[in-house]
Amino acid sequence: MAGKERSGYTVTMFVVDVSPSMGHLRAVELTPGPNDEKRTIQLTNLQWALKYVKHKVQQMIFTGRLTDQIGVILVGTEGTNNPVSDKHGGYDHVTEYLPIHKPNARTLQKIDSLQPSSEIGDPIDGIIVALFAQQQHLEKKRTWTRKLVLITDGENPLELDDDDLSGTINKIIEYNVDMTIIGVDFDDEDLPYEEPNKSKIKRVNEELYHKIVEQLENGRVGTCEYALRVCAEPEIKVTKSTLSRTTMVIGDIQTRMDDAITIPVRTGKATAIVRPQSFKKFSRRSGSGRHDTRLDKPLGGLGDKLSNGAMSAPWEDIAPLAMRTEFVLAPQSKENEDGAAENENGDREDASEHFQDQQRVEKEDLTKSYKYGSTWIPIEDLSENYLPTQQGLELVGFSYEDMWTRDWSMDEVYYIFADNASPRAQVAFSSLVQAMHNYQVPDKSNKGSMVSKPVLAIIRKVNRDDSPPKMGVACARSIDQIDYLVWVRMPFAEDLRRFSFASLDIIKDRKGIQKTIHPLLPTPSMMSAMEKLVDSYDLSDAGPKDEDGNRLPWFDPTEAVSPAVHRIKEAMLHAAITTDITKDPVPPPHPEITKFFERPRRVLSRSQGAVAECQAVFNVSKVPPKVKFRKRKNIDGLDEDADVPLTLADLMNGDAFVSTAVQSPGPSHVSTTTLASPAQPKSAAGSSDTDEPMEVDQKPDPHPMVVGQGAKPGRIIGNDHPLYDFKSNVARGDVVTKAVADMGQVIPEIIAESFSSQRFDEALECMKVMRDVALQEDEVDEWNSFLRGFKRLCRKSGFKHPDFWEHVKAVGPSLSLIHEAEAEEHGATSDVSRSGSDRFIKD
Amino acid sequence: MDESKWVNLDADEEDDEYTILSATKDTILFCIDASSSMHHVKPIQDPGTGKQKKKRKKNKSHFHQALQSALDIMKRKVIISPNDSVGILLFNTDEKKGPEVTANNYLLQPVSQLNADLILRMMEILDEAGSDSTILENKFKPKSGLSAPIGEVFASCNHVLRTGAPKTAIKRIFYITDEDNPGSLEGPAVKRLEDLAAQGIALIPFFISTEDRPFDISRFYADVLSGGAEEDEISPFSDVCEGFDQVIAEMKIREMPKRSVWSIPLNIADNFVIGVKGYGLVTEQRKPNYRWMYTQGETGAEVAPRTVYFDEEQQTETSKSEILYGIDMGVVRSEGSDNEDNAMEEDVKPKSTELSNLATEPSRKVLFTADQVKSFRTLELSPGIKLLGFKHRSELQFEDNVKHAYFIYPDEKAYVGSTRTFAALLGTCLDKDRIGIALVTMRKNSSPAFCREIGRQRTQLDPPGFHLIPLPFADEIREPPLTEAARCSTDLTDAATELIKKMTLKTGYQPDAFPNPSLALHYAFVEANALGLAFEPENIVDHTLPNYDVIHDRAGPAIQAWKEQLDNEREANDTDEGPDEAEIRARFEEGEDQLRKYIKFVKWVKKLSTH
Repeated sequence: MAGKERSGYTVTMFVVDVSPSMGHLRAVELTPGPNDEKRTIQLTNLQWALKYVKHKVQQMIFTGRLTDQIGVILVGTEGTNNPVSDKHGGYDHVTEYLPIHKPNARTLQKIDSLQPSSEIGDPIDGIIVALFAQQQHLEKKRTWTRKLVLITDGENPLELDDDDLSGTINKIIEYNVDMTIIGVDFDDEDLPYEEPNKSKIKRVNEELYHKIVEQLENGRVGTCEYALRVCAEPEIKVTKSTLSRTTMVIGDIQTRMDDAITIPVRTGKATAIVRPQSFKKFSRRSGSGRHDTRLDKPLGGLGDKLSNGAMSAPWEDIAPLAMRTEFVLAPQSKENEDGAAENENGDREDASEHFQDQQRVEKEDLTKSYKYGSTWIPIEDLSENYLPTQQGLELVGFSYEDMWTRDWSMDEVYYIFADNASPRAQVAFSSLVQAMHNYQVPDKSNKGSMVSKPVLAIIRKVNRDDSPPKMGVACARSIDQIDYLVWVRMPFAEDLRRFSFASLDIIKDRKGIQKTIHPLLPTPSMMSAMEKLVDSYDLSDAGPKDEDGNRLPWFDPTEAVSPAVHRIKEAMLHAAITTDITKDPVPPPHPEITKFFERPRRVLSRSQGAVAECQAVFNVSKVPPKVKFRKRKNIDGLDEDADVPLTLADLMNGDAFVSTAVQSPGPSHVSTTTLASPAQPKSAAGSSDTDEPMEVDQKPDPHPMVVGQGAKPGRIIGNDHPLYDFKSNVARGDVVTKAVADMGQVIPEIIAESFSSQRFDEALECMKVMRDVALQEDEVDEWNSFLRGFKRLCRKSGFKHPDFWEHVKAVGPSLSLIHEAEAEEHGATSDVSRSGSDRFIKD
Repeated sequence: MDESKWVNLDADEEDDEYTILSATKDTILFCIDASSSMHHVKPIQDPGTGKQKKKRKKNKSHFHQALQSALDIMKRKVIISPNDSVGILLFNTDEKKGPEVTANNYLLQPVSQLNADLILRMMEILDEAGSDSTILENKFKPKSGLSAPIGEVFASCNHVLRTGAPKTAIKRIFYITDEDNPGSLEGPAVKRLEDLAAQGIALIPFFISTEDRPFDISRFYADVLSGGAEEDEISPFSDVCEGFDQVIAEMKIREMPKRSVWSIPLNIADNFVIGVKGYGLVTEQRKPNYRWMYTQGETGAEVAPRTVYFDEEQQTETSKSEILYGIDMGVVRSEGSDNEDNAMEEDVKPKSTELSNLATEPSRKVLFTADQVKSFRTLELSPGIKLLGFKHRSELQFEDNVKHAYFIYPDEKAYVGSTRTFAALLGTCLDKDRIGIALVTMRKNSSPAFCREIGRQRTQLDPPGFHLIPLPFADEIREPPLTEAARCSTDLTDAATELIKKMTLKTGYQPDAFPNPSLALHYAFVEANALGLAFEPENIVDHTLPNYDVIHDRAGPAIQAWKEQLDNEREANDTDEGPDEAEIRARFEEGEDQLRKYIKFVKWVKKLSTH
């Protein structure tokens, strides 16, 4: 569970045991290797336990509060140097290593450089020294929080009598110190962990530590492993909204003051976008001549693969980067790249690289201007271009909540409270909120009775005088002891794009007759399968169990941390803590960050049947990034998506093809073509991995294969020598499916590319070979679906060589659909009858 | 901290989107029928009672209105997307004009990027016509007899667009006619239409149908527009427009070419993936920013900002690809800048030998590449929507919002079967009142977000599909900062209820009722500057202001009753704390600052009295 921690005005004392036993080595697990193999690193117990200290310190560095301070006391140093010893003598082998200060980067370096010593020290002495130092520092700062963290392995006998101990405990209580004891391999029920072969001394010590904390109000003992795990958990920063003062007005306060209502209110954010912390930019200094040798970046090797290019470099070889904005003449050809120039903050990076060689101009020679088509309108004086407005909230009217369109909410949500200093405002405001919340209208179906129908307030919001007005709706909230509104922005007329989309459940043919059966419409069996799936995906009981064994719901925004924010924080923390980023790369994300990335187990297990049924009845298949032939008709471009304009090639050559890799607006009718055979095999879907969008569960084909000459991206069969490529790939044995699928795409392309009938014979030969392989290698469905689609394609108006099909027909049944009998001979199956196959080729 | 020195890797996604949407040029060719029926002016219905002389507003011909709509669109485009091109072609004119066109076609405005002169020219034509449509009929004399062959009209469009439209633009023809039976041959029309399609040019028909002159699509256009379509195919044409008002409404919908912001897979279950496209149906239409123009040359030239990163000490530039990313450690490298640091340095006197060699280990800084930083931000998820499960619709809170929603619609071109699957999913969710919870990575470079998918059935205005509503993360939710306040009696709530009753609208929030006044002002400002006209900001009506007259008319008594009751409220008046409303109001007149000062004063007095 992500923790929330109070912060600020704190002195944390770390008491670190550096006795020789802390030098014992242990194998610590690292990020798994590239092939998921387990990897470990040998660390001393001290190095390992110090990770906890460094973690805490780094978090303080990030927040950068002056009032978050630390001190470090070492126990077991060879020498003795501490204020208590100075004063009273004794307290040997205890050293005040780092006095209380605000931690910084060098603090971490100093903690890093600690090593086990050759002397044994007494942690209780350390605690006493820490309490003393803390007290000295905070004597006059009574409100500060005191924390003390002891890091020890508990392997050394403690020299103490009961008086000592109770005296110490009393001090801890007196100073109200929050005490944490982190033990290396202590037994811990929370983890849970129990150390095998524990030494007697350690057992006694552990018991003692537990006894100590039992007497404290704020004390805990835990094992280091668990502590490390907890501190890696994402911490949610709680921000309190600052409230700004304004007024809510009903009616015209300018001219009809006495008839209008004014209520002093305060507003503040209810949700606020949090963006990840930014990294600082650096560059490696060139010219020093040293960076190549001194950069800690191995060339190749395991470390490099793991760290994925991360490196650690000596400070003097890197330079922090500053930024400035220059102005260059825009190249004529780039004139249309609005995006680059559009942003006035100058932070648009796309422009930078483009315009590298352009002529620089000075800002003094520039004039602000607006573009009016191709006309430039220099504007010297922008002062007229604003709408005079008055700060405040104006109530425009009320509307029923059930008429509100939820998906119009545009921005962050705001609270509106009555002024907390004015009871009169509070009373006035609460009457409106409650009336909105409890609004009732006469029940139409039941004369005389009322039915609840809450209303929203339509409120115009102006943040400051003369800032642009925003429209929004506010919803009434009436909780425990307060009534307030929550307001969210609604679109202006211009903000709403009313694109037209075809109906999903009404499909008419060209005669205007509604179709009930169509490949685009779900069938009753599809609907029933989907219903089962939706039911099995219910999250209301898919979470963990509560104390009474009832299943809780799964997922709530208040439990989901921002993955980007916390992942970047993790990386930053790791970068600060690790001693060697190449051997010890950033660990995988904490489970808390990714806990809602996968469907809950309960959903997975109970949905299996429904998912299988859906997979079968819906029969979805990925459209391979195949050749799309020029569309012949596109009546209304708006039913198509004009995502990206056509390429030049499209315009120059009506028969040119555009693979989806270049993102042409795919001709609609390709899909229709494929649609007509809903039984298209899945193999085509699994074989292409070049398509840009992710294929969530697909792994790229690990086998290297023969990629033919003139092959389209992602294909292994080239358009230059398809027959050769096909045969050699099939001979490899492991890429047959891919080869067959690719061949099915290449054949139509070479026909389309063919000058006159030049490549007809080659294409026929390709088809013959493809069919043979399909028959032998159980790719029958692939062939049949290819052939059906190809036939349709050849007969489509606009196909360059409609006569090619005549050539196919001439070859006869040996190039037709593979039928049952034929398939059976080769141990495959087909849903085509022999006569069906014959008819297909004759038709 | 100098913010500008920080990486803006997480550059606002909204900005990206805005760029995507405005990066592609759009070209519209208005193709307007100028036959005599289009010029026909419907006589004003005799008002009957002659006394009430309403405004002498003449009806305008369809042709007149078509030109006016074209001008309106041009005026908006020239400011919002200045790189777009527009042209106007008339057909069925007596005269032929333009080198690329065939007989009875009249190229009123070749396809080109707009500018002030073109707008002025169109304005002149329409000004001249004023409210008298017959002037236009004389200017663009209709051809007598039969309509010009439609195939030829399409061919003219093709040539006109080929000459004028930028190669990379989206090209669309807004085809406006009221003649359902032009008496042309279907064959050539189909062929020419296919030619247009082959060029990637879309024809969007606006068929005007009126009571007197109903437009029967089956007489000619049904076959032309679906020519060659297979039996099974979906009817591609839109319905006819009843009257010109509907043409304008329809044109508004089509004014912006429909563009998706992304196309990604929707993973419903393992091995059960469909394709969807995302659209920003609710996106802030911002004022275009001003740009810099270089004015020293002979002609002005556009200037682009270029960001340069450099090593401050050595004054050397670093190219973007070589930038490395590290953390800020809270200190500078130079030693001894911080007093407290120095003190610490001196105080540390480790005596053991192991501890004395502190400084021998050279300190190193960890640096990441841009790719790594990206992988941290994206969690290495590829773009896609992963459906996690369903909840009841009631679980979507008003407060669960941080940014605008995205609309998703199936993409049959990415996965065959997407549409039927999507339709089944949508239908089931609506039947069962369910909303989906999904993990969404919209683009290659974007961070994952959790979204609710709320389904929407097609109604008159709403498209069918799911709306993805990005949910706030735990980090983004803020607790109410106030938890206690005085409350009213039920008498005052009753008074407030009466007030609400008087001020409740019959409809929900209607965006169309609230055009953005700042935007309107901006358009007027730029247009006035561009065309050399007077800028009259006072003519801009701010429709976002409440309709005071109606409020006071309807709710005046209710407001008074509420105010009287407020004066009777014990909670509101039994303390000496807080300013009296009347006083606040009095102070309000003196201005906001006065009010603030006064409130401050009251608080101060209160403080004094409590001590």
